Amino acid sequence: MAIAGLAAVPQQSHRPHGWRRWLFATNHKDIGSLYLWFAFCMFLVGGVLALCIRAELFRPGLQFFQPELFNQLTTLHGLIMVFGAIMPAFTGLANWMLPLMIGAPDMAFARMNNWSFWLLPPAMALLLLSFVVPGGAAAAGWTLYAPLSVQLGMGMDLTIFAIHILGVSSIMGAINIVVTIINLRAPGMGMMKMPMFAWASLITAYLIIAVMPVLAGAVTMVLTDRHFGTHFFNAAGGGDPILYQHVFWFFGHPEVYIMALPAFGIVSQVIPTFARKPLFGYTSMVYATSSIGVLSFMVWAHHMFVTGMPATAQLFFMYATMLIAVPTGVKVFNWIATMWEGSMSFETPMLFAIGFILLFTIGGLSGVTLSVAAVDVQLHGSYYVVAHFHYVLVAGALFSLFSAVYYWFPKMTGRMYVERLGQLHFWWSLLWFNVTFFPMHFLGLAGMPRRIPDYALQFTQFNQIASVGAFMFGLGQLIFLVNILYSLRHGKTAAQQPWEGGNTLEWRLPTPAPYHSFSEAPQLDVAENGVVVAMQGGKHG
Amino acid sequence: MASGMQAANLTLLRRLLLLVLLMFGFAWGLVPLYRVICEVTGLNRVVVADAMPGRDAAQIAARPVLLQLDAMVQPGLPWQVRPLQSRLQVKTGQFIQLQYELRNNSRQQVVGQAIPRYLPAEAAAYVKKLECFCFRQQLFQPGETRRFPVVLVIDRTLPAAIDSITLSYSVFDVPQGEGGP
Amino acid sequence: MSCRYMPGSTAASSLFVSTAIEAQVAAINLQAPATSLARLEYDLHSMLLLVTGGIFLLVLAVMLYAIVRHRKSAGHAAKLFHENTTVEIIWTIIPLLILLLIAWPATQAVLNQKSTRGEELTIKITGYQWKWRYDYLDDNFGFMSHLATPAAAIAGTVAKPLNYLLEVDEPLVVPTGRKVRLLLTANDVIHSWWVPQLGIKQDAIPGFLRDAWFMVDRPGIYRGQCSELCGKDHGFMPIVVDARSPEDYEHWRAARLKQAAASADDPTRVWTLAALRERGEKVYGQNCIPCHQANGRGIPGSFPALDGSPVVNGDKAGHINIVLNGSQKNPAMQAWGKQLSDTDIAAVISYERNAWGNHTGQLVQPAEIRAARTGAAS
Repeated sequence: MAIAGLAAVPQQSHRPHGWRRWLFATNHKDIGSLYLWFAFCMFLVGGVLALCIRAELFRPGLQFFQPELFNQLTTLHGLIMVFGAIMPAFTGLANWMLPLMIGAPDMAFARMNNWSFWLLPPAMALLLLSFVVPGGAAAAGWTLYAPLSVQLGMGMDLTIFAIHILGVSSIMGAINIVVTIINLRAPGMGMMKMPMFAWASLITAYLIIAVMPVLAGAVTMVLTDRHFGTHFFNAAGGGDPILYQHVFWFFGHPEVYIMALPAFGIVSQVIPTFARKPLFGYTSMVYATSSIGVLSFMVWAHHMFVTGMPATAQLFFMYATMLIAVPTGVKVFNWIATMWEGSMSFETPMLFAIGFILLFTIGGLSGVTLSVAAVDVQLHGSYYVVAHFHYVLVAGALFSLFSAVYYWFPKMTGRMYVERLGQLHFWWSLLWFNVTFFPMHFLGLAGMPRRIPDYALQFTQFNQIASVGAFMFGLGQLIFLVNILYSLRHGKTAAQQPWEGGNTLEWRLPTPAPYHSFSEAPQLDVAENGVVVAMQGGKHG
Repeated sequence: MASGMQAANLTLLRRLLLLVLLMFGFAWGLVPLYRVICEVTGLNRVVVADAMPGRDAAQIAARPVLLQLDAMVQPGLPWQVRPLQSRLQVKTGQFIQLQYELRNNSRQQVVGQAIPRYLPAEAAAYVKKLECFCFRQQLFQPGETRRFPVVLVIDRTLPAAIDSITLSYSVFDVPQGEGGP
Repeated sequence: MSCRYMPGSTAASSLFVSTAIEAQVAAINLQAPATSLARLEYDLHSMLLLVTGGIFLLVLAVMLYAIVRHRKSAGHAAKLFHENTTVEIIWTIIPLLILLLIAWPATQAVLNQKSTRGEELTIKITGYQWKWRYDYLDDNFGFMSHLATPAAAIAGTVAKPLNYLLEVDEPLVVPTGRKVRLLLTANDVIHSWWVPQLGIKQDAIPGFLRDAWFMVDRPGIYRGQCSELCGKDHGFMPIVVDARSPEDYEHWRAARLKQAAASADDPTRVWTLAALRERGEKVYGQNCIPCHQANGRGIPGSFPALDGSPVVNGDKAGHINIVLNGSQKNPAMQAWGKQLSDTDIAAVISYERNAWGNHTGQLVQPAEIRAARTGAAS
């Protein structure tokens, strides 16, 4: 069984075997593996939906899907990628690595951890099931704007229910992360010393706790408008459709950072390791990450520049959004300063981290362009926005996830991945990602709206390029799957410290990490970013 | 695990759950908050008669303003509403008389409430309504058509940046026996 | 930036362009501006592109330099510095200054977009699923504007026309050189009115009124699309603005006023079945086809069939009621009473009752619709 491979070789006898090990899992490593495999499956499902979209858009005219099904595909692609792939993947990594990086025996609430994972499959099943109910799946875009979402069929109710379950799951996961980081750090692992990945996970978890309930509130209002005669978003009853957008984006903008901050954390671990140099400006990184977290609550209405806000509101949200570029820029400069005068080597994790910096910078700069309200008038709701957020989420979140999996794979499994396949995976992904998404900037500028199943003739060429790129990019992800499956069984045995520059706590553990690590906390002397200077004690098993 | 640690974990858990509840409440709190913001900024002007503009305003010279009239009926409602004039050249400080025609197209008795909306939104504070069918709910018999006079004065303190105002009535259905959400 | 997509004026495009190939020039920048607003946006975007592009190249250059020179394989030893307050302050302040430089023209542009002063013509735009309605408030006439691309072109059974999906049966006609003020609202869900060359995108929100303005520099046809997901046919509700010289506009307006006066249907006229069916087929084509389909079979699971439907073949009153007032069960069925005239509703009902496999032989007169509206009799 492939899943079994991602957990450690047994050192202790007292753990359940077979399906019970997974269904009743309370070990953070098992749960982390479950999260990661689940996220990868959902990434493939969401990817297949994306390829359906790109297939339809290969040529003008309607070829494969009717418009209503096309809208369902775009909606579910967004929901599945956000809630099924990216968020669980980060939670899985945090589950796996946080206890190892801060010297905790496990996550704080092991049983709740089990629940927060096992709520995910039913929620995703509901979402997928909604394709076959009368009227089909939700077709209002992942933003589920009212009043369109009030108008739709039963698939919308299933979606709302699924979002509630997903919300509960991610809130429980986030609570676990907060409590683990705040309370379970080993002696000597101070808050202003702990790894950036722990900081990023902590701030992300707080964001999740703060905004997932707001999303739950928004979709509950849609639900009561649909079935219980309320008029929150129905102007005929004294409601206001724009109110939905305010509530949704109050969740939605921090959500963007929920998907980006853990990526910042990962890259801040990977770059120092492969530059063989400490992270530059650790303290300013912590403050930059925190201020991005705070600012993310103050910019939501930049998603609503064309709803007809008063000029003063437009200006406020424009300035606040531009301001976010400053701490984000600080982070990029810090990473580059970490690379500067380093002694770099370019194994796969480092390649993905560098790819991340490069492409995330493009996404960030197109974000600055979008933040200028007067220009946003042309770009809002166009393919330019599609290009922008895929640069942030695919190149940002996904590339950092690949970087993290390659980076920690030896510690998780005791085996090395195949380096040549990893390198191929990176260059392939980098090339086809850009072929897919860069032309979308042009499409948006030239006037192609997003979420349309068919388009005017002058958009044909770039759509064809993007579709070819998308299929090649999708194909490339099989390289990753093959690499992982092969390496789980046949990879070379990994050393305790496979990377020369890795000096955070997880690399002090045997490889693979023991099933019960740090059951007795070690005494640590730690430098910034979790770099272990000295360690005493600490028992496993 | 030490029991002291266990207790600390649970305390933090309780605080975080409280935060979750607060934020869920906050989402619902945004509904009235949003309404309050709209009131304060004059985006939704209250439907009560205004006082005449103050005397000191009379010092300011009257100036021409273009008044555009319009009406909207909410989707799915059986009303028909139209202004009898659509465009008026008026002066600030002058009494303006308009007429609106409302018709109930349904076979039921209906009660409607009109809400005036202004463009630009800042103009709301300067348009003083002295007489308006929006001051009260209106009962209509099946198929009934009625004309209503509207009397208003545009305050002379109207900012110079505004040289035309659109007044558009939105008519809402008032379900009998309840007041909306 | 050199290859812009420039649609010609009406006359030019019909003479000049013979194949669809001409339209396939791939544009990589904003469309050529035709209003001061669009020009403002165009210039602002060009400025941003230079600034952000410059920053990106700078970041890329520094990174590439480090990648080439500071690598282990090149024998470079790591220098273990990890702090430099001066550098950190500098790279916080400089981006702030750059942002301030951007903020100044950006603020000016926002204020300019919001200024609806001095308008000379007001047009109310209403978004419907899935078409636009334009009402000339000053002149008291208006019309619906539907997609004109035939279904066969979308399905691919006939060649796609030059302005595939960007053509309508009746464009919005405006005069050049005059400030046109738009009032926007919607009838069902949120739509968004976007014409790139005019520099306008404004959401149309049901129950609320928003405004925007433009003044077109030169005569021409300007095309755009709905840019807020509004349901099934979101991709099929284009916008076409036909800007004419003031004299040409006045001619069009005079003709339009005359036509409006002449075509006001006499609701008491008694029609023959053949005449009503003929008109009804047109009304059906413009309003009902997206859901109920040309063959009347609907889309199973979403939109019911009319061919053989018990409502259509049953009692006239029930049929009239659902067309006039919409369906309680399925909100996608709108109350058409607000959009269509008595004559159009009578026509479409008469058509449906005598089309496909429906052979009731019954016709509904406009007077019956009028009666049903007021509930006097049925």
